[in-house]
Amino acid sequence: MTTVVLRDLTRRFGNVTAVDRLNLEIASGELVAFLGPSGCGKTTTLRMITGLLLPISGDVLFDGKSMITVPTEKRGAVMVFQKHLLFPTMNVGQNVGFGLRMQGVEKKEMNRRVSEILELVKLPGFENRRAHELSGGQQQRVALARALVVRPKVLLLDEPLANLDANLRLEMRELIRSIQREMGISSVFVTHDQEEAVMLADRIALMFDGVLQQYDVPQAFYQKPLSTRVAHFFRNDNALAGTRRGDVVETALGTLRVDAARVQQPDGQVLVTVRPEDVRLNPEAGSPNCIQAKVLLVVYMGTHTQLQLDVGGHTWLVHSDADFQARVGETIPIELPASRLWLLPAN
Amino acid sequence: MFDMKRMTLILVVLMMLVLSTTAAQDSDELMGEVPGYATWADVLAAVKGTTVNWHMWGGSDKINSDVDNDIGARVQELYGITLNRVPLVDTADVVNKILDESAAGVTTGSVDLIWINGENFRTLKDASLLYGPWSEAIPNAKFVNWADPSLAFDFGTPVEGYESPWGHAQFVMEYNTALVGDAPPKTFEDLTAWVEANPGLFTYPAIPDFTGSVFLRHVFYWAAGGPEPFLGPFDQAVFDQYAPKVWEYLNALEPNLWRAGETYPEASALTDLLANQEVAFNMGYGPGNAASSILEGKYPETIRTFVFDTGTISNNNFVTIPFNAPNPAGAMVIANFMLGEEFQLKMSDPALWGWLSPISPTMYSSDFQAAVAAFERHPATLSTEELAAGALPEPPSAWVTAMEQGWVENVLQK
Amino acid sequence: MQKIIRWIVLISLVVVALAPILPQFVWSFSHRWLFPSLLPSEWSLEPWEYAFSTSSRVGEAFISSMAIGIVVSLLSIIVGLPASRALALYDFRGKSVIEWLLMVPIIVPGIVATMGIHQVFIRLRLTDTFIGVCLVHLIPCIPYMVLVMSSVFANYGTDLEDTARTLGAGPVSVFRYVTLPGILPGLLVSTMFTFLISWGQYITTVLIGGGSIITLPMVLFPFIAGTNYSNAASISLIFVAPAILVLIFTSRQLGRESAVMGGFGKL
Repeated sequence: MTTVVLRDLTRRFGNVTAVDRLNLEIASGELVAFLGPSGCGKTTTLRMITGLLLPISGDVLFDGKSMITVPTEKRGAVMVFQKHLLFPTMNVGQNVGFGLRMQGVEKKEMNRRVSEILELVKLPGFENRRAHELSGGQQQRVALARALVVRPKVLLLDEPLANLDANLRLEMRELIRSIQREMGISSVFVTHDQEEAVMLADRIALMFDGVLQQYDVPQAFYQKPLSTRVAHFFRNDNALAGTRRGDVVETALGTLRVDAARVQQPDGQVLVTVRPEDVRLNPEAGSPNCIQAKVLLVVYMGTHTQLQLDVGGHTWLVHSDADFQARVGETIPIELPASRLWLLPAN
Repeated sequence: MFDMKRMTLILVVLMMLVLSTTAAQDSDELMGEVPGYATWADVLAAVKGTTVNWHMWGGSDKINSDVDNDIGARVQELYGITLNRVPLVDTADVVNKILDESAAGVTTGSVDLIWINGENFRTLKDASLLYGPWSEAIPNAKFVNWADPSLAFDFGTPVEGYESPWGHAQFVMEYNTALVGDAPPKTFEDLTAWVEANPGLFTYPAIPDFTGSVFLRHVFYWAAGGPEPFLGPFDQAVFDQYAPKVWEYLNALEPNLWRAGETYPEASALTDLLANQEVAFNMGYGPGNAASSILEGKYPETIRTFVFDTGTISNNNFVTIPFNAPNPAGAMVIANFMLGEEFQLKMSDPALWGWLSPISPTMYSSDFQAAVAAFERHPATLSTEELAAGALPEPPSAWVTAMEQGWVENVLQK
Repeated sequence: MQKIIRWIVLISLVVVALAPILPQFVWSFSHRWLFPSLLPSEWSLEPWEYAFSTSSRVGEAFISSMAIGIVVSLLSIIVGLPASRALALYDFRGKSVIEWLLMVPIIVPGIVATMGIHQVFIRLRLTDTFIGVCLVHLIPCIPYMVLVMSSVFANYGTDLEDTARTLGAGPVSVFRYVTLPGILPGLLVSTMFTFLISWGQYITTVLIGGGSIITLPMVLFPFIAGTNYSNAASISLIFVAPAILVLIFTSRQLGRESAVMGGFGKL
């Protein structure tokens, strides 16, 4: 049970700042996703937590103790890599028992714990298999078992699901989630896939260009993104410029009411946004927050229909019922429910 | 004119004999010239228990074994010297080593003795990288006829006490009686006639190969009617006078040579060609080579040797001591041993070494002379008298270089 | 059926590997073997008797060649292993210059490099010493070791070592349990090639060893140059024996399924 604190963590490679003054806190037993496009600094951060890479400035604290001078092998932060998972010269049992052997655990105890953890990852009795005899998914599970068996303070997973096919990925996701819950290990995994992050993580740290953009529970990235970039990463490009005055926003298409208790932008220039699935089509006559939009494109998606609309010069995406009918070029009324409106900073 | 020369020669020999006998009576005095040692007794006192590193060409198992048994084992018994024979592919390797050591200022190297002659000797002597002078001061130097130009000069370089002879070599032609018959062509005119009648069975090694080069020198001697024009310093006018005849002769030969003269073999390849009966002739500096090659199984039994009616070139094998030899005393003792009666007898014995001696048998005891007279000669080896009658001197190296260059320009590239 | 094909392949491989040695073998027992005879007309044990005599110096040369080869191999590992790892896995200033310099001894004829080195060695009093010969052999040996091993290291990567670190293994344990077993097949093969390069050195040994150190090529090469084929044959068979052993061992290693050996594909 360990809390991890990253304080002003900074790392440069040559002239490139890979991670810039990163601050975040991982609560004990929490599963956090480092999310972002490749090259955003998430793996660099992971390596700094393990000590394989040292920061130029800043600090890594486990349970309030600085880890900067502690070498990797003494930190208790175990990392599972994306490629080259298992030691090729050892069998499964030796792979899983490696960490225990390094700790000097006696043989009998080691064997017991190895077989116990292999059962947990659903590979009972695999001790004597050679690494290259296993499938990709099995190798992944052995690597996970090898990390878990030492009961690490922090478990770090670098794109653990990237090399698996869709079915295995689902299975593995559930396995990681359930074991992590069961054992209560503070964990971080790196991913570039926002769906994976949303489904698996307690909290997501979204990073662009080495800078932390938003650190919050998954829902917040949908309902309360902190910038247009964050909203865009979570597939919301709907925006309408306006000026907030208390609980209304004046826009070119009319005055929109907002929930003052929910939105966080101060009065002044803002961007109004609503997620595509929250826009109401066919509003009842006289509903508040109704505006006119021109239909640009209608795409039938099976479970729903996706519309591209021109909203005051901005292109919006809107999801409607599957059987919604509209003609391209037609102007239709849409309702932006006040309870769903969110305000982004203008630029 | 010729008689005058011979007379002078005899006089000089007599004078040398007188000088060397007096020297033999009191060799201690002559040692004064040798760096580091006042008397021969001093030299002998310094060698017991020492090692001599002798760098020499190591491509013959027979010579390797003979040197170890007939020299190494004996100097161990007689003087307590351990002979460390270092085999070389090419004597130039050790010459380069000495040059490098000198450039780096090494005053004590590791080479004591080198089997050497010609260009390699000149290189070391010109660079003042030799110990000495010593070779005329060692006791057995009294047997050496230092007035003989082939002993006083090594390819035109004055020996001047910086190397000591131990074996004599003379150029001979080897031929296969199965292809040539019993009357080989002993003049260059006859050779041309034979080659025209038997195309493809004669060639000589590509120059600047050592052996090909000496064959070329014989053609020059033939063209000039003798070696005399080439024994002085190099003279371009003299060279130009005779060279056209040489090129004309060799170019006329070319179409009927082995492979129509389109390519010339290396010396070692020519040896193989004769052994395999692809050609009828080989050539080289070893008068005993044919006999020992037959005995070793390298040649068929039908190989014999001859020398040209106008004679063949002879030279000597020497040993020298580099300036930074760690054990010059031991090296001198070995060189001295090799000039002694015991070793020269073994060397002259066709059943043992089968070499020619650089020393006239008359210089040694009557026992020696009797033993030499009783040697049974292999039918492939010519008698010492036959060889000595036609022995010709080597020209200075400058002539050799000019001849080799001329051949490349006027024969090879024609 | 498949077994038969395997045997045919195996036998033809052995024939191809041994074919060049066969005439040597016949030569080494021949006394008279003249063209166009298919076999020697007179046989003899003399070449072998000579090879085993003290005069041939084959025995002592074999021992010093072996001793030098082993020391050179060990030194190549000590110097070459960290260097090849650095070249394979890290970027640093001047890396391309070092890579280029490493190729130089392979491209430049040994004699050219050795002539310069000779002067340096003389000043350092390393000529005519055992260790001097070992050091000069390192010049052609280390590039091969580094080129092969950097390819092996590049292929092996650092992920497994990093994994081991996070699992609690210190640097020594990482090397012992993860790095070394992983690179071992490549290391064995490159070490043996290094040994063979040292084993075959002639001119470097002549210049630096200068007669105080006698190695097998120094005894053998004069016979080859002197077209003394029978003696050259018996000694060269002794000379190639370790090479054949190494070849057999290496082909077994290369034949094994090993991810690490994939690095040889780059060469």
